Amino acid sequence: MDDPQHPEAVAPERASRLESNGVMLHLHEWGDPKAAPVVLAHGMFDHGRGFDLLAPYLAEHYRVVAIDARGHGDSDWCDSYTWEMDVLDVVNVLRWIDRPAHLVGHSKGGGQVMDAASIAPDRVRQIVNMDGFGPPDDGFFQRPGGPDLTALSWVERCSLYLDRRRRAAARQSWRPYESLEELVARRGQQNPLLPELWLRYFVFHGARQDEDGWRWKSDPQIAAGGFGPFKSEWIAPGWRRLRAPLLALIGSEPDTWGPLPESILAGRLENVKHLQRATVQGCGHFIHMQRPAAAARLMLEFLER
Amino acid sequence: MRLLHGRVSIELHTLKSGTGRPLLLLHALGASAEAWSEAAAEWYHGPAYALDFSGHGKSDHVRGGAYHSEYFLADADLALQQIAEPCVLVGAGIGAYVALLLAGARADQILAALLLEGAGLEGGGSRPGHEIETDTVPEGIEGFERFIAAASVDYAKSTDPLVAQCDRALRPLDYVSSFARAAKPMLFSARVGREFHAPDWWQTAFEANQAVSAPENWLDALDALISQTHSRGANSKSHK
Repeated sequence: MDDPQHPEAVAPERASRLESNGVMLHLHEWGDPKAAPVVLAHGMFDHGRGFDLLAPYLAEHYRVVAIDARGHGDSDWCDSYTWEMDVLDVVNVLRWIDRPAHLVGHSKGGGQVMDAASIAPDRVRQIVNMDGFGPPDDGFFQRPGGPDLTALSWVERCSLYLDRRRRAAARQSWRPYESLEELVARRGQQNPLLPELWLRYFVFHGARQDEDGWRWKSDPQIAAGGFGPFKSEWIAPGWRRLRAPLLALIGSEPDTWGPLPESILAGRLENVKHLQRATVQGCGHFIHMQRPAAAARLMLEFLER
Repeated sequence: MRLLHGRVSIELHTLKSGTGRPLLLLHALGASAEAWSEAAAEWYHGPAYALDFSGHGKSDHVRGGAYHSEYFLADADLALQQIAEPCVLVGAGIGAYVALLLAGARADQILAALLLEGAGLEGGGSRPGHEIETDTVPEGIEGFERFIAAASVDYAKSTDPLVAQCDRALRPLDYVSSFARAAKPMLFSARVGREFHAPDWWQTAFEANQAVSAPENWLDALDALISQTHSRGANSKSHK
C-alpha cells in the first residue's frame, strides 16, 4: 500500500536517536541544523509526525526537533510511565542540542515543556503551550465514553488500578485492526474535528502493519493508565518558577480535551510572570493540525530569532 | 518464584513454608528480600514470603526508570494474588508506605499490617513546595540528579539508582488517610517518632487508622492484632 499523502504535510528531513534514562527516543528534524533550535513535544497517544503541518513553517527560520515521546511513535516502550520521566526526556533533548532552545508543546506535551523549563531554566528561551494547561479541577477521571470515576474515593480508584495491573500481565500488545481505515475511524471518533485526509496521514504514521493486521505504535500500557495522588491544584502554582516567557494558545471551538473553562484557565495562568495569550479561530484542541498556518504565524511573531 | 508485572519479571521469595496465615514481607528502598534473613522469618509461625520490588534484588529493573510507590504497590498486589490467601504484611521504609496502601486497597485480603522504619519512609512531603517563591530554582534537574546519586550510595548493588525518586514523591494527607481508614487496625513501630523522624503522613495515617504503637516485642503485639482482627472480621461478617 502507498503511504497516504497530504498536500501540506512535509516529512522530516533528518532523524536521530537519543538515549534517555535507558530508553531510546526517536527525534524528527526539519530546517537548517545551524539555526536556532525549537523543540516540539506532542500530546498523549500522538507522535512527532503530528507536527508535519506546523514544522515546515517554523523550519523556514529555525532548526526544528520534534520528539516521539517514550512509548509513542518510533521511540522505545517502557515498563512504567510517569510525568516526571517524560519531563526529564525533554530536558535530555535540550542537553543533547546543547544550546538554549525554544519549547513548543501540545496538550500533555505543553504541560511537560513548561515543567522542563522550570527544572532546566538555563536551557530554555521561550515557551509556547498549545492547550496543555492540565486537566479540569476534577481531573481526567471522566474519560469520554468511559465510566464516571469522579465520584470514586482514592481507595476505590486504587483498587481499579490494581485490577488493571493484574490484567496487564496478560495483555502485552494491542489487538490488531483489519485495516488502516478502522484505525482512522477509531481516531476520528475521538477527535471529530480533525479532517479525514489529515487523520489518514497522521494515523498511518502512528501505526504499523503486522502480518495479522494494523496496530498502534504507542504502548498499550499507557492506555491501561497509572495511579497516584495527583491533584489539579498542584499544577499552576509550580508555574511561578518559570523564568521564560510563555505564549498560551487555545482553540476557539470546544473539543474532546479542551479548552478549559476560561474561569479555570485564567486563574491558572495568573501564576505565569511573562504571559502572552491568543485564541486561534476555527479549531479545537488540535490547533497545530487544524490551523497550522495561523498557529505558526503567532509563534513566529512571539519567538525571538 | 517469578511473577510477571506487565513486562517486568519480579521475584517472590519463599522464606518458610508451612500452614497458617501467610506473612508477606516488603523491604525498604534500595534493599531487597535479603534484608529479611531467614532468621527474620523464624519467629513467625506460618509460611513467610518476601518480595523483591521492581528495580531491587532479583527483580528486573523497570525499563525507562519511571518508579513510583504505586508501581511497587502493584508488585505487592501481584504477590498477594500469587499467595492466594489473606496475608499479614510487614513493611519497612517504603515497604511500610506500600503496606499501608495495600492494606487499604485490599482490606479484605490483609489481615494485619506492621509498619517499620527504613529507607524510603520519609517521602517528599505532603504537598508541593510552591511557597518557595524565589528567582533561583530550588530543585532543578541538577538537584534531582544529585538526590538520586546521594540516595543510591547506600543501596544494595543490584538496585536501580532511579528508585530513589520514590522518596521525593508527594504523599498527601487526605490520600494517606483514606487508605488508613479503609485498612484494618495496624501496628506502627514505636521507634518512628522516637529514634527516627516521623513524616507527616505517618502521624496522619496512625490517627486515621486508630493504629497501635508497636512495642519492642512487636511479634506478640502482631499476634494479638491478628487474632483480634480475625475475630472482629468474623463478627462483622455475621452482622451483615
